[in-house]
Amino acid sequence: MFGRRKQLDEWGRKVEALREQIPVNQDLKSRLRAEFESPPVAPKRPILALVAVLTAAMALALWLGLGNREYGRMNPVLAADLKIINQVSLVDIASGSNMPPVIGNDHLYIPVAGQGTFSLPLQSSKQAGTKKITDSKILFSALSHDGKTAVYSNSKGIYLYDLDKRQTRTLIEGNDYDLFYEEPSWSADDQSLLITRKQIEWLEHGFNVKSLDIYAINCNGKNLRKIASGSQASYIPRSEDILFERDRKIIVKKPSGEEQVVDEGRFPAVSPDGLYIAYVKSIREEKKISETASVITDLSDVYICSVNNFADGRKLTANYPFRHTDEGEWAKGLNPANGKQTLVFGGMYDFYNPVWGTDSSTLYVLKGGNSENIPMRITRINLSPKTLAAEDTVARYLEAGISRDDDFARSLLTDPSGYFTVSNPHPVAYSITGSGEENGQTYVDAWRTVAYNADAYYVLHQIRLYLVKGKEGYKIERTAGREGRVQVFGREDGIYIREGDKEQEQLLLPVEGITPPGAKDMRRLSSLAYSPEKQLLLYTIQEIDSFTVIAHDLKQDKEVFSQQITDGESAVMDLSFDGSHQYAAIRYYGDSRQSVKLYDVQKKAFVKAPFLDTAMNAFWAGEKLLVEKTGAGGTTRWMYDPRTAMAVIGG
Amino acid sequence: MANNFLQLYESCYDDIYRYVYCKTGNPWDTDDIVSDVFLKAYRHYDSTRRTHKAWLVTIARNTTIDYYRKSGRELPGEVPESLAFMTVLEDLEHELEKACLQSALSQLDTERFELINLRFFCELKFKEIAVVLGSKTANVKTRFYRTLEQLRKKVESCLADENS
Repeated sequence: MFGRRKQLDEWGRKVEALREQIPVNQDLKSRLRAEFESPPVAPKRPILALVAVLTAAMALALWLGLGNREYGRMNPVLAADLKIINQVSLVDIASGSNMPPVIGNDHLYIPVAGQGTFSLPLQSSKQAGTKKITDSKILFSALSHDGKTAVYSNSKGIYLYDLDKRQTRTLIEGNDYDLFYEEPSWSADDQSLLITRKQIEWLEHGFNVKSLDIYAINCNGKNLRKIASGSQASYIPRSEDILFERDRKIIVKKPSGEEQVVDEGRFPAVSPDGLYIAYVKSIREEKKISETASVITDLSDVYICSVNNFADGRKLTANYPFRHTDEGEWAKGLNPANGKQTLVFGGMYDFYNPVWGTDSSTLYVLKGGNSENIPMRITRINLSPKTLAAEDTVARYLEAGISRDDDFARSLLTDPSGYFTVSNPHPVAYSITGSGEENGQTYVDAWRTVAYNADAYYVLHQIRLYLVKGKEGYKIERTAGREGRVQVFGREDGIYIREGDKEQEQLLLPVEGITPPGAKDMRRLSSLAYSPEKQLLLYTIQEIDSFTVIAHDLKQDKEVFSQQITDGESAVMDLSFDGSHQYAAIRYYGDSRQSVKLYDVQKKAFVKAPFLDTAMNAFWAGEKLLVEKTGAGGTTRWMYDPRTAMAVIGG
Repeated sequence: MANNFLQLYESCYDDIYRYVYCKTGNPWDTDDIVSDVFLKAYRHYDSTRRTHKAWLVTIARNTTIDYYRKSGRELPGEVPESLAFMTVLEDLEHELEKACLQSALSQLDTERFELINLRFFCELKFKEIAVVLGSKTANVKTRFYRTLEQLRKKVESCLADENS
């Protein structure tokens, strides 16, 4: 009896051993914890948009095939069924640097040419920020799966860098003249790497690449062996196949030597779960506009396909032509005698080097802008088999406009040609107030708030966005203004309000002592914000080198807060209330830098928020504050939660 | 209340997540359901309750059923199909044993797999499983060991078949 029980317990232990391999979403754990740590006042459904929160645990998710007994068998989501649920640019990289990020240890590592490697936490944290972790010589190319060793390359060779000991050792070196080793990527067991061996020949002007070959090498630098001709190689997890690029084709090579072409393209990257291949592909289309004139559009985009079904490749980004010239005017000006002429439009963006997050549902890609000085950026794309809810679609659309991810914003419209951005007055907040159906069509109601820089002008627009649902989720068909427009603005004698379509404004609050423009002792009304819900007016008086923030309770007709900001030569830029009207952000220049102060409506005081001391360009996405900060040799974008004082990169 | 609840949350989150994951088989649904579970628990938390973990698992069990019902999808577990522990078992010593255990687990019916899930993946005591299933501890124990016995037989028979 006991022997049998013992035997059964042994079987039990074998099953129990599986436990640790079932993924647990630790990011969700910390986010939920933060919700519960807040005061227990009518908690909302936390993190509805969880589809965007996919963590390392999910690397195992699709291939484990645990559970789901209705589907039972291995039932991975195909690339064709994945939806793009968010796209946000996280970092504007320093000019001249275009190296892809490295993901690992719950951090984003950004190599910046001439500066070093920077690290940013991917999880929400009270200590969120950018840290420089190496000198300018060590620019990470890849991180081992155990997160302990980074590999980097330069013109001399490839080197391994121990993150704990901060020590470097040589993996392999070329001759720094015509033989180079580059593009290292780790094997699943971290025991070997795939690298590219590049042989060039110098010409009188420039050089030719004589050969590009993929080699495997043990991490002790031994056993160098040729695997294939090509570059950008990586192992496909849980197989012995390798993925690489040759002659602008994406290729999978099996141990038998058989090669299969995945698609045309560059920069192939396989997801850590081994299910998807991401790559960059250009599509060139020619349109004849007369007998002698043609227009070519050449657009690069990021694509993915399933590893077990290359044919289901699909586009993830929505690049569009950068029309720097009017093609009609151009064609008219051509002389037919000069023969056939071609005008080429590139894309508004160029994409490079997709890199997968450890969860296999986030993709980081380098995105360079071709116009308006949009710099090279690291953009994150979140994927999910679920479609976004209507309200989340509108939220993503409004946020994309702020981070100037115009391609993504346009992709959320049924008619992308109607998309445009306005820089002044600039948006400072949005909040979703509800959703429903009108004549069978889904709509979302929102407040969208705009303000002028350093001016007493603040407008709340109540808008209704009508959406249609397709296979990929909701798209916004049209936006209608509603009667709820509220304009608040300053004049020399005080602050006025104009509501709805009323022509006549009303004095909201008389303000005394305002000087006329150009006065020597300047004292002028500057940025302000208004909360109809709280009947609270927050306004500023700008003087020569300081400004004062004043809160006025309109119900009680009483000043409830006043504080002068004398942070160097201080000038207020804009004020804005969050979606719950509990907090207001005061953005200003002071002490030769931008900064943001946070006002707590209930406490009638500024809140300590050290993270915001060096923040720029504040924008309320509902109750979270999107800010930019200097870092990683460029600009980083963060989402700050005033309730938890935690920030997360990108949001 | 908040501190007590947070302690419970910290100690049970991983197990609840695994339990739900084993039912849904995907992280997206699991995230949604687990969020709901703890929200409900937070709202109805009573520190005087004696079997907190069993209470949480009961919420998780019911929330999962509700989730699929609301979404109009088939309830997990109603169609017993093979479980695919394909690569999960890579660490087991013997390839053959691995394949056989995989096959045996996949053949368990819903009720028996629930016992495995509650006991091994959610780490409940027999007493707690009894609370969740509304059964008696002795019954749970008996059924559980029958399930293990069934597993053992299936694996051994599978191994014998393969070896012959």
